[in-house]
Amino acid sequence: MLRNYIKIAYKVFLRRKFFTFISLFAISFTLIVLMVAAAFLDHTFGPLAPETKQERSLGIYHLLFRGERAESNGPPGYGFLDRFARNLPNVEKESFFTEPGSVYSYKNGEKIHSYLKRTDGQFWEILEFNFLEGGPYTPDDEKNGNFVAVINEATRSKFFGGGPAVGQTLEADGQRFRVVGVVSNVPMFRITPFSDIWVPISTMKTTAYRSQMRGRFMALLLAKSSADFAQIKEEYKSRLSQVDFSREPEFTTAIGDAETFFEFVSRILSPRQDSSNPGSLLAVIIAFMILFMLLPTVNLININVSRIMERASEIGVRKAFGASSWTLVGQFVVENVLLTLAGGVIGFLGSYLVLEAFSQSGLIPYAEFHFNYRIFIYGLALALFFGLFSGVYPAWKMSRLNPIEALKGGVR
Amino acid sequence: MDSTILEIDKAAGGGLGPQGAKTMIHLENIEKVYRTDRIETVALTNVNLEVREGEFISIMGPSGSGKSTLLNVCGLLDTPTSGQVRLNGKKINSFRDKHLARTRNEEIGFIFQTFHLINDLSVVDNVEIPLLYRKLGGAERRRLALKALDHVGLNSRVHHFPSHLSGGQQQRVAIARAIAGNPRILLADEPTGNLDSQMGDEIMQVLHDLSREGRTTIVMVTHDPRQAEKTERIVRLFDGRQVH
Amino acid sequence: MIKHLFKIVWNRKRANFLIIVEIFFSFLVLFSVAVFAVYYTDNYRRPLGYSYDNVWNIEIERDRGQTSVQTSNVDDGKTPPAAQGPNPTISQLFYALRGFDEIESVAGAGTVPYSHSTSSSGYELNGALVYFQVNRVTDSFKDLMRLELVEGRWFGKEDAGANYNPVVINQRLAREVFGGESPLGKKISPDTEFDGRPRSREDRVVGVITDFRKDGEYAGLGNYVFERNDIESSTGEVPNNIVIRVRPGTRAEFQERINNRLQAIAKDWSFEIEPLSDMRESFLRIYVAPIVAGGTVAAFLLIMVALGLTGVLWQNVTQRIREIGLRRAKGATAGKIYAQILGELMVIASFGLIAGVLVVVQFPLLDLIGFISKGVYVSSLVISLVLIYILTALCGLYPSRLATRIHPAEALHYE
Repeated sequence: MLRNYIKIAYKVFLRRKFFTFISLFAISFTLIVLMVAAAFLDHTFGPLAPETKQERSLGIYHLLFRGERAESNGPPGYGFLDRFARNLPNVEKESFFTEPGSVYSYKNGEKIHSYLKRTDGQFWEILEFNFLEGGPYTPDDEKNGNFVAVINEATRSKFFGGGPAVGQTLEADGQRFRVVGVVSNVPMFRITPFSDIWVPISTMKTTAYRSQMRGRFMALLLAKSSADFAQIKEEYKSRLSQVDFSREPEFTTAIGDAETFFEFVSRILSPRQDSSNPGSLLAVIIAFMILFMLLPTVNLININVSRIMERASEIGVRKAFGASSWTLVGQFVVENVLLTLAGGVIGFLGSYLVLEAFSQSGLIPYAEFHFNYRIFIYGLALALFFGLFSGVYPAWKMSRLNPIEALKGGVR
Repeated sequence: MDSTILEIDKAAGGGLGPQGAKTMIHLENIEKVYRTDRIETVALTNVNLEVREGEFISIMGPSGSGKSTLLNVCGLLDTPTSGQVRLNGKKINSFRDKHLARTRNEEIGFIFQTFHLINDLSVVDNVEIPLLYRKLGGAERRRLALKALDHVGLNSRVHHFPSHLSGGQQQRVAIARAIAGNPRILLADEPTGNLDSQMGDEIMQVLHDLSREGRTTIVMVTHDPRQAEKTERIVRLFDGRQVH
Repeated sequence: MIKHLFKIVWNRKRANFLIIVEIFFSFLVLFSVAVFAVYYTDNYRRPLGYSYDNVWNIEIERDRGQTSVQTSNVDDGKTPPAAQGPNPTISQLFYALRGFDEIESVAGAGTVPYSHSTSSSGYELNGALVYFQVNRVTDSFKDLMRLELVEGRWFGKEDAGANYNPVVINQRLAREVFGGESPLGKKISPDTEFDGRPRSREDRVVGVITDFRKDGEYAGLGNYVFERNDIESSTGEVPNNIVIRVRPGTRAEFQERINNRLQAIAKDWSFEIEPLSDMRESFLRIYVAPIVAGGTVAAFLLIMVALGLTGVLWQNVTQRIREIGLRRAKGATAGKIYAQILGELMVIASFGLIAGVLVVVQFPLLDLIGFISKGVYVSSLVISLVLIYILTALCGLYPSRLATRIHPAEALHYE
């Protein structure tokens, strides 16, 4: 029976090349868009190296000072983090580091742009970078203010033409650093680990950062387990009430969160930036995807209905010779699933090509989109959803088809 | 049986069906009314019909007299508004889709005026259609289909597609499809209507052979009195009623 | 005829429903892309108000404690000067830069075109809340950036001892606050500071420029205010940026020389040197990339819908061979059939579009797209409507041609 279904489906597809083409086009195109979006999301939020411990990591990304008539929002300073974010309960390790900042180097009259991040030594203990050469600098390097640097692969090829870099020196932002390690590139989406060059915080040009409340720092907290998140968040919040505003009287309260990266993004995207509601971000993402899928789905339903109506006479014959409505629905579902799978294969190929093109284009520095099992499962689920959703209404319509009308060819 | 059965225009001397043979189709007080928003159309009223095993009968009547509806009721494609249908002694009282489908598959073969072959399938695949809905292996299906094609004299064209065949050949394929599942009843809706008279005669010959040799019960709707004359019995309809 | 078309479409509403839904969604997709496309095009046509060719920016980064803290403040957004009094380092930097042969002129600025930092402010003026962007620049900024003065004068040395702060505003702000009157010599600051103390010096308009669209060609129009930053005086402050105009043909290698010289003078500071044209390129990408991505996706969506629609209509026509044959038999010409099929399609499209427009008119009512002017809104609405009509008509062309080829005899044959 199934073999017969597949056989007739194949024949129908070949005969109705136009309909087959439209269906395949619609399915594969929609899958491509959704899977590329999924790859982006996965790239931003998925537990990829070096953020392998993401499921038990919290970050402190922002600090809001609010007064009656003034408001100041931005990343915290080192001084603030040092005072309020150390030794939180159930935190195994914490690391403080700056946002990546642009620095320029000049080599043989040519300007090289890089991102530079200043971090403490714990940074390398929490995040698991893939070292191609050498190793990280240590908390001691940071304490002693050693001018050492870890660079990524791209920076190595820019400065040293791809040859070994450990032991050599490079100049960035008017300072000279000795390279101790080379790591694989990290995509820019990953704002926590991302940079081209990583150097100890203590190499800052002045020591003013040590007392600053606001600056361009962030913190990464590694909890013992994600079950401790609530307690850590609460403790951090309660500590914020101790912030002393005597030097900035226009402010009265400090607002901030220890939050997961997803919570952080959802807060940035929400209209009121001081409250995080990750559920709503998820809802928005899903709503957007469904909204986007509506048109292709309606289109597919339309094509499917047309395909069925065109074959009204066949359906009439089959009913007359003993096919029950359910058998016919089964036949149609097989057809639709086959088509969706074919579209899915094209979709997978297409998304692969689009993602490769994205990776090659360098639009997003170091974005290397690779297919992984999460994206694959996601794509499969989408294809299945498509096959089912676009098939239900036409199948229902098919089962309702009156064989007498169908045989007469006058179906509405 | 019921006394109100009306037997009309019995073909003289044609008594092939021996008395006491099994009744294959038994319609009792069939009424069919089509209702739309405002209009009620009566398609059949008080129709009673008994067709015995191996009998070959024709249904005649002007357009809109209910011939096709009657055939569809016999073929369980249409359900009567009231009345009783018995096929091969079995009372059809469940009009559930699944049940009707199985009965159609086992008891009935259809032949249509416009053949209704599936263009996407080869001749033999078309003939296999009724067998698909039975629990049969592929080889067995193929064997039965080829046997049916052999029966209608088309064993040389099993892998052709319908569009490559003449009208008469297409109707032969359709007949092969109708008999492939070895049903006891054949229902033919103007089987010669789309054919020239020579091809039509050929097709009629095939049907007569089936009736004689295979003891198959055949009900045929036709406009053509010449073809109807050759059948054992003619049922005439006018405005949804049987007439004498 | 129209009535007849409506009747046919209505009677086939079940069959047409899905097409209507499809057109409805297509319209929404097209409209959302059209709004942005029209908005950007409209912005792009307007003058920038400055020239960025041969202008390089030197961003200064110092440890000032509040470097990257954005201060937003409802009453007065001016960042309080971080370092009071003339800063010797900045004067030395200016002096050093002026010494280069390759550099024509030097100016300080709070922010520069195509940079991501913005300082804005808003307060009540003449009874209405006015919002604007503020930029504190030095006297040479106007000539360096080639700003176009339309009224009054730019500020300069003559304002040094004045008891007011001289400001130059753009035409849009002048119109918004002063209407038809000349804004010259008028006060453009609130009476009190944000903490309620009376304001010691008023901001006085001394000149009007055409515009200064800091965020570039695609950004919306806004109000702009230039304040004077006299780095030599006690009220002066270290600017975030130094802009320089270099001689045409100056090569990128020159950046290294500048950097070395500046770094030698200010060891604790960092400098980011970049031509405005390069900054422009990466800045505009942020505007263009989403519209290109969105536009591509929308285009593919519409192609898909168009193909689907063609298929559906094609099938509809073959399904109606009998009806069309009958019409032909009753004397309808091929042209009439053509017109009828297309007409039906237009009626169907209209149903979908009416639903779409009903949704879209909610946007301004709910104030969902406040940044978009009425003109942009209406023209994108009209463009989307026309495009959808054209698209549906194109989809109907081939199927309706097929319909005209149906022979009257086929109708009878089909029976």
